[in-house]
Amino acid sequence: MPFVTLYLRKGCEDAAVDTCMREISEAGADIMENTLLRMVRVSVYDIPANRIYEGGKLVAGNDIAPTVFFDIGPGRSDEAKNKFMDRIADILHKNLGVPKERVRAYVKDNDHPENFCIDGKLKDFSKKVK
Amino acid sequence: MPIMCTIQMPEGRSREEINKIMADVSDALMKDLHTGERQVRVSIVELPRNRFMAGGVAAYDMPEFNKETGKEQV
Repeated sequence: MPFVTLYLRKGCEDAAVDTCMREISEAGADIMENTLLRMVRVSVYDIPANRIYEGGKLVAGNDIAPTVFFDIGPGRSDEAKNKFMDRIADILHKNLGVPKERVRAYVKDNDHPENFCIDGKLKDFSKKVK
Repeated sequence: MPIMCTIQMPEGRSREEINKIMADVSDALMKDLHTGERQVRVSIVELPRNRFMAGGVAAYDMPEFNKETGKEQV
């Protein structure tokens, strides 16, 4: 953690998606407290156009309809999370041409940090890395 | 199906490695959680190597995910 997962309409340019992933990684390290670049994971799922729905109906046209999931461990402020989500929307807007208001993000706070390990060892979230 | 385990990783591991990890994780869950039959599901999600990044490094630049195919990097 932190883990950022993007769901994008399939068909976005690879280079633009790559840039988004790099900029999101760097923004996460820059904005989130106690977070180094090496800790940030970014995954992207390309969803076929005929598998994206809103209100129970297929989304028409070329609407990219991005959705962001952000899993984050304890020790980070609401302010940082808000700023990071705003920055992600900026990044998607700049690189993919997505209207910022079309970016929906869900932040999932890890309420059970005792259930997270790295290489089989429990992660110590009290440790300060920056 | 009370226990579900999803493993997300970049594509590039061999079929044998994937089969083994599914069996090993299933065995560990069944053994340590004392489950009955048909209680454990393990799913491996392979992401394209240009859709996964760790620490600012894309999976297509990670040697461990480029062993099998020898494909030209993206």
